[in-house]
Amino acid sequence: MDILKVSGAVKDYGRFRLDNVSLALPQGCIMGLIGENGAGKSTLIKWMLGLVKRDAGEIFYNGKPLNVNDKAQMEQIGVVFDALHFPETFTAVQIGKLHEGLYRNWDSACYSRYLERFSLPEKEAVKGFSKGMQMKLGIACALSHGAKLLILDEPTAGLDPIARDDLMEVFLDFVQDETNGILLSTHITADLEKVADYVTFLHEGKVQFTHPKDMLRDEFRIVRCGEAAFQKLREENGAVWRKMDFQYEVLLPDGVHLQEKYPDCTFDRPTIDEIMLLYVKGGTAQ
Amino acid sequence: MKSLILKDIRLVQKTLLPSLVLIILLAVISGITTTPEDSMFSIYPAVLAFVTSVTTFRNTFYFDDTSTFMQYAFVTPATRKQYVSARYLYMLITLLILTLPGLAVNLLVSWISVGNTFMLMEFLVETVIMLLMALVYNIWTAALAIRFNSRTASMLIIPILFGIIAFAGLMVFLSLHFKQMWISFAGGIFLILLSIGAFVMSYVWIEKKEF
Repeated sequence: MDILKVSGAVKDYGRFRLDNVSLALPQGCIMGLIGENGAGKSTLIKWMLGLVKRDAGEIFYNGKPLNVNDKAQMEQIGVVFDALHFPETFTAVQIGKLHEGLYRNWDSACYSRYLERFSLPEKEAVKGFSKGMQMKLGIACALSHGAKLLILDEPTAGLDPIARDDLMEVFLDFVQDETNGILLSTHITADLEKVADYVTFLHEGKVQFTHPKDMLRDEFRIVRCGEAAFQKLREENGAVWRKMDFQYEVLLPDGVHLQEKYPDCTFDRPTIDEIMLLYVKGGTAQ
Repeated sequence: MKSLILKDIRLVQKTLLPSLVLIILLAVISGITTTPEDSMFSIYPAVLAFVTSVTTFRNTFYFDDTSTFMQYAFVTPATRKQYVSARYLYMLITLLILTLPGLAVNLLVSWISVGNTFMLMEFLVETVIMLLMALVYNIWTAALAIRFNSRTASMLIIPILFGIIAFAGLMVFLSLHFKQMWISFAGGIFLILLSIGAFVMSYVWIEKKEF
């Protein structure tokens, strides 16, 4: 069952349009939402959470239409944006008290455990927190009210690798419960290589692909070749490519099956970054 | 909703508490010094309550704008309507906090010092007038801060306030000139209706607000 399903999401700003975006996040999974700045990741998250007017499309949470005015549904959704949204003079304890009133299922003991796990001071104003500490506090809040679905918008931006690794462990712990799910929007694709089950790539407001991460790793290939091989690849396969100084780079979604057919080319496993780069900066073969 | 109100009170408590102490002090002085011939001093606690109420109320919107708390609040189980209602309840609570202790102290002091309630009546009338003014001013501030943001609201509220004062002055002038008191009453009712309109619109605008 899909914990989150978006179907035909449209938000038109005139200068930018979130165009018919659909995705489905199965229970027990982490989906990475990737894309360049301005691709529409944050707009999609705002669309999902009702922070912008939905021009078209539907959203379902565990099979039921998501209604942001439904308290029971919103109890089960934890959200972390790319910055802390609490008054900067508040301490972690005061922020906990604020949430205690907002969430019926707020678990103060769980919150205290996360503060301890993340080594966050309880009685220091959050304005003195580093970016990493602020994001950890946001995540502690999102995890302390029995949420089943986490929607995270760039939660690891600006964090050092150690802090990011800590958070990835927390996310993996969270989806140990197979009825939970995480939608994780990020620029840092290395994080997704570690934890994501699915990757959805947004470019200019449109979904370019949604694939299991293993498929990107096991089946996608970057082919590096010369002019003649490139022309052949271009004619025979639908692909994205870009010209480098001395060679062509071609992304083949089913590249793993084509290795024998093109013995003169070098086939490499692409990283998510390389896939994104080719889609954004490359041309299309057809 | 309770936690939203408490959040706002916590945010402004550093401004609220010194003002409250000063209001009580002024209420004591007013209770001692006010006479039927000179009741000027009794207005100061009321004015201070008005100023504290409007500045702290505006500041809560400013704090929410700078921390973008409003956006966060709407992804929690708190609804948009609850957010606005919490704001108005917070405003009423702080207005009571800023006026009731002053009134009680003034009553006590004027009774002890001169044994009559004239000073209290002066104080009471001025407090009620300031309280109503703060109510109207804050409702307009809330509506504008929700429709735009706290910064724009601060800029727009001043011409609106002067407009209201000019309008009220015109109504009084017309009622005196034509010897028709109903003109003043009609003006007052018109202003009250405008404030009710702003109150209703704050609920309409919050539902349409995008982030």
